[in-house]
This record gives sequence, C-alpha cells and structure tokens, in this order.
Amino acid sequence: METATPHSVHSSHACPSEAVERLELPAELRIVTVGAIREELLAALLRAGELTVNLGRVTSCDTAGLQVLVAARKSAERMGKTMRCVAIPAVVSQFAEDLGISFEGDAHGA
Amino acid sequence: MEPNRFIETFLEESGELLASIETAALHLHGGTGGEREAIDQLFRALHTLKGSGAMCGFSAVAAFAHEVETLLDEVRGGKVPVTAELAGLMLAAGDHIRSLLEADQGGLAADETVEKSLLERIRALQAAAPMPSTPAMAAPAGAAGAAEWSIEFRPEPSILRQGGNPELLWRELRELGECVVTGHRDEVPVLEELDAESCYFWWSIRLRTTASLPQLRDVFLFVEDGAHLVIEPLAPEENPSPGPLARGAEGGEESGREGSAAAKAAQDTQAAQDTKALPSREATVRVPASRLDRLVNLVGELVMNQSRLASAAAQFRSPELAGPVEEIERLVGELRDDVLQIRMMPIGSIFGRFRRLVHDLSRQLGKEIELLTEGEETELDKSILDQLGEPLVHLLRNSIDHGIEDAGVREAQGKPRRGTVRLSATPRGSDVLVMIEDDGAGLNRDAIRAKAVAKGLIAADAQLSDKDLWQLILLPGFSTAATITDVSGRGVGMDVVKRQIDALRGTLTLESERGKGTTVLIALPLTLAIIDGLLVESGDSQYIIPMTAVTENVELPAAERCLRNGRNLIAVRGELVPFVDLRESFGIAGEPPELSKIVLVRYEDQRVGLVVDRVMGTHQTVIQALGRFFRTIQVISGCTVMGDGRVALVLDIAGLVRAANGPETERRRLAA
Repeated sequence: METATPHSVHSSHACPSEAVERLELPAELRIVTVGAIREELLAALLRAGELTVNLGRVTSCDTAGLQVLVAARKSAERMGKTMRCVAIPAVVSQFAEDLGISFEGDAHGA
Repeated sequence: MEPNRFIETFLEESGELLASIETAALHLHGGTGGEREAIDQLFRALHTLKGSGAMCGFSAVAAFAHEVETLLDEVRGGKVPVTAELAGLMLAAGDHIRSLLEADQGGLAADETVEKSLLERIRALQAAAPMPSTPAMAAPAGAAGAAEWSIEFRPEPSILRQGGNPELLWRELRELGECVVTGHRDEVPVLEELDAESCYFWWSIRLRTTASLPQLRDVFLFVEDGAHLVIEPLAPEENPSPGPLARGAEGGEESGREGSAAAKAAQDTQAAQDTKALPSREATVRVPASRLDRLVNLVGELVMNQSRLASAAAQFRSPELAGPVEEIERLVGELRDDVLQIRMMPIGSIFGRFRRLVHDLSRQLGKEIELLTEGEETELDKSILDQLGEPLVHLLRNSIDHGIEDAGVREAQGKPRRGTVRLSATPRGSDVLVMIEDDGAGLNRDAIRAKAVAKGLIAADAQLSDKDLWQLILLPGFSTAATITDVSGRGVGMDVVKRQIDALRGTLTLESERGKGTTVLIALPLTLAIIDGLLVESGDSQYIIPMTAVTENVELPAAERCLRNGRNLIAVRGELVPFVDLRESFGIAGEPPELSKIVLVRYEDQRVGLVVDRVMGTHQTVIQALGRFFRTIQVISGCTVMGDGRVALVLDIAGLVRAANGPETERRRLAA
C-alpha cells in the first residue's frame, strides 16, 4: 500500500546547504496528504541547496495538492534555492490546466 | 466548521429546499404562468441538494438529485416541455428525496422501486421527442446571441476543507460556453506560512455564453458564502440585456471596481432586480431554532432578575444605584422586544404545505379545489406557528372533505365547478386573525340540531342562535359526517382543534351559511412568550391571570360563599357566576382572609370567578414553560419568576373554565 508521506533521499554531499535533495511525492497529492507533504517539502528545502521533487508516483491531485507545490516553489525562491519538479504525470499537468494555474514544472524526466 | 455541524446545517437547509421544491412544483401544476421562475427555483433547490448532499456524505440524495437536475437543465434549455407530468414528477421527486434523507438518518430504508420508477419517468420525459428550443424557456441572453462575461471568484478560504472542488465549477462553466479560466497564485504564501488546507488561489474567467446571469450565478450557488464573486458583462455595447453587476457575497467584500455614473446606475438597477429575483442571502443568518428558544429563555431570566435588582435597589434609596438600574431596565426591555421580534416568522412559511395538502386531497376525493392564500407576510411567534400547523390541516381537511361539494353537485347549484378554499391571515392589534373560508355547502343546521338533541346537549325545544349552534360542533365527540372518509371524520373532531387553539391562547369561532360556505375564524396572540397579567396571591402563592381575560374584580365576603348544586356560585349583579377557589384548587393550607377577592374572567361567552386572597396589581410577565412532568396540568400554562425570587404560576383560563364547568371529580383531577 502506498504511504501518504513522501520519500526523501539524502545525497552524500558533506555540506548540507549545497546538498541536492530528492523528494518523491506519494500517490495522492490531495488535501488529505498535503499536511505531511508540506512538512516534508519544507524540511527538504531547509536541508538542500537544490531540491528535485519527483511526481512520478502521483496518481491523483487536487487544488490543495497543487497549491502546496506552488507554495514550495515560492519558499525556494525566497530562500534563494532551486526547486525542480520532475516526472510530472498527465494527471497533474491536466489538472493544473483545468484549474488555469500555470504550473512551471520541469516536465522532462527525472 | 465541524463535520456534524455541517450535516446539521444541511439537514435544516434541506427541509427548506424540499418545501421550495414543493411550492415550485405546485406552481407548475397550477399552470398560472411564471413557469420559468418555478423551473429556476426547482433547479437551484436540486442543485444545492446535490452539491451539499454530496459534500455531507448523503450520496444517495446527491445521485438522485443529479438525475432530476439534469432533467431540469433540459427543461431550461427548452429540450423538455413543461407538462403536468413534469410537475407531478417534481412533487414525487421531492417526496423521494425526503425519504432518502430520513433513511440516511436512521429511518426506514427508502423504497428502491420508487426510485426506479421515478428514474424511468425522468428517462421517459427526456426521451420524448425533443421540441424546438422555445425562446421563453431558453436563456434570456440567448435571444440576443452569446454575451461575453468576466467573472472574478475569490473563494472562502475554507472551501477545500469543506469539500469544495473549484475545478468542478470551471467544468460547469466550460459546459456553458467558450471559457478561459486563469488561476492566480499571487496570494499563495511561502510554505512556512501556508495553511495547506486553505485555498489561496483565486480566479478570473472570461466566458462567452448564451446563459443568463442567474444561470451563471447558479454555478457558484453553494460556494458563494463568504466568497468574493463579481460577474459582469465584458462588452456592454454588444450585450443589450443585463447591466454590469457586482456582488459581494455573505461576509465577503464589496466590489471595489470603479465605473462611470451611468454604469453605476445600471449596476444598481440590476442589483435591485437581482435582489427581487432571489431573496438576499447576504442579509440572512441561519440560526437553529433551539438557540433562539434558549435566547428567549435567557432574556426571560434576565428580565426577572432585573426586576429583582430593581426592588433590591429601591431599598437602598441610592441615586448612584438608581440611575444604572433604571438604564438596565430600559435596555433589558429593548433587548426583550428585539429578541421576541427575532422569533417572529411569516405565517406564509406554513402555508406552503397546505398547498400540497389541498392538491393531494382534491385528487384523492376527485374534487376540483383551488386554495387561495392571503396575508402570507403576517408574522407570528415561531412557537405559535409550530403548533398552528396541525389544527389548520384539520380545518382544511374538513373544508375540503365536508365543505366543498362534488363538481357535479356544484354545477347543479349554479356554483363554479371548482371549489375555493381561502386561507388568510391579518394582523388585528395584538392578535392575528386567521381565516379559513370555503364556498362549499355550509353547515347543516338541522343535522347539527338533531345530533345535539340526540346527544342530550340541548333540549328538543331549545331556541339557539346559529352562532351558539355552531359552537356545539366544538364539543368532544360531536361529528355529523354521514360517512367516515380517509380524509376526516375519524373521531378526531373539532374539539381537538378547539383545544389546540385554546392552548395557544387563541379563540375559535364559526360562521356559516347553508349553500354558501363556512368560515372558521381563529384569533391568536402575536406571542406566547410574554403577557400582561394580573398578579394575585392566595396564601403564600402568587399567580398570574392573563389580563386579556380579566373583566372585573369584586369582593367576596366569607358569608356569601355558598354551595349550590355541587358548584361554587356567586351572584354578581343578579347573575350567578361559577367560581373556582384557588386555595381549594391548589391545596393551600390555612384559613382564608375574612374578605377575599373574586377576579372575574371571561372565556368566550362564559364568566368564571377566581377566588383569591389579594389582588396585587398588573405585571408584565415573561412566561417560562413548565417542565415536561407538568405538561398535563391543564389549569396552568406556564410560570414566571418574580422579583423576590418566588415562582408565580400563570393560570390557563380555558383549562380553568373547563375545570369549573366540569364535574367535581374532573375539576380535582385537572388541578391535581
């Protein structure tokens, strides 16, 4: 069974601020999971110099789910860090389009 | 909002929605024009039932409402015509949703076959040859072609938490025409400040559609509370129908957009029309009735304590204390009046169900009957309205079953085939007069007389006025119906109605003319919560006698008390008046004073004396209900707490008169 919490993968860089962090989001990017996802994203951003968010496993998405990604990107910008979304499934990009939210994902592969 | 609170609100709201479905369906049935409004009303009600139902987990209701809504949408689009079958189907659909809701709340499971047959009827209407789109039913803007609209929607932040899905709104808008949805992310904070379950996105939409403004508004129907919603046409010169419209929904901000004076004027006009079409929701707050009752009780206690405070303050004779106490008295008085005013509701809120009753009964009995209602806006205290429904239903059933003749009989008498029952309410001073008039056969004088003689109520040669004769019908067990029907005449007679009206401190009188019809007049007080009373004392106990019943006070010297024919009687200016001694009735120990007082009260045409030790004076009383253990006591209608903290009982005059007229044992039982 899919867990609600994201899987984070630490890199082996010694200096935390320059670390490249990879975070894999759970299948559900929805209001029921956004609380946990927000915590994970925030922790990962604080740890990393660069964050790659993998959406490959996401199978469903709602407004709150999309919103937490937008907020994470804003946080990254404010912290002067890079955040990339990769492996964006059609379900997410289509949803963003339906909602009229421009979702600047880096859509090309992990 | 707590989930259960949400469900509670939904259930409350669904009652109103079902009532509005019924009203609209009956309106359609009447075929008296205004069909578009009725269809819109039905659509809105079902749309809300679907949306809120799904949100609150009433999935069966949501699914069924969806089917009906789809059909109504086709009616609005002009694909399905408005027919009697459609109106009947809407009534049945409302009933079915009600039973689904009851089933969901632990009631009997809803009948699946009913749903199946309703769905078949829906399909049959949908499958019927589509008629060409009629301009009357199509969206008003349609006649002038598509119009372009600009919509700005900033949802209530908790929309997501409450189960709202903005994407569904946009899907719905896209179905209405060409639509460009732009979501805005500027309000979304950084992760650190994000409440992940709140909605920070807002949207602007451009829509080219033939749909009307109300149709667009319908899309936002159950997400507009607390939201900021602006819908306005983009190109006024190409769009002759609606003017620009700004609307800040409940709790939301007003539109801050500037416009030319002309545009503003047009905006105001449109807003005014809009308000007329749809009762303003901005000005309304939904509050459970129980909370209002609690508020009334609290204000009642406040009033009582205020008078205790006033009498305590009077003992100190301190100007520093007297000033604020007087001010509190004024404020409490205003508060009491305002709180009682909140509980006032238009009587029209219960008229709705009578339309359904008349519709169903006239079918059942094969009679043609029209119900006319007047004075729906007349206001009465909610607690009175709650108890008024049942007696009115009974009276209407009587009028329809016994009053209105069959169409053939009516024609033979030169009357219109269709019988009329008129239900009206008019304010009259501190009372409201409710009338039920029918143009039926009228009361049968001879039959009533014969029955009264047979029952030994009157002597065979008694001379009675019509008015007195009609009052006999109100006695227990009096029924002249030749046949017992399903509708009325099952032994629950007019006496029950009379008692129910008495309990509301109202009066009931009958007027009738043979062949012309019958009128039932009910006079009701505006409120039950507060009365002007006469404060009296017997022994250490205090009682309140409603002032409206009091006619005079006389003295009763001990020597004049006499017992005749097993009844207490006193001669007042030559007339023998029965009296009730409160000492006796309430088992007050001790000797009565040498000189007692008799308070004469009038109840209908009877006079009854109440013997008390002392008359203290007038007293405005906030009535508190007695606990449920005392509900069966008929001589008491409530109690009130006096300034000194003692409890005074409020006497029920109708009950007292019954007790005084009844046999000794009955009197004792009632008072026990």
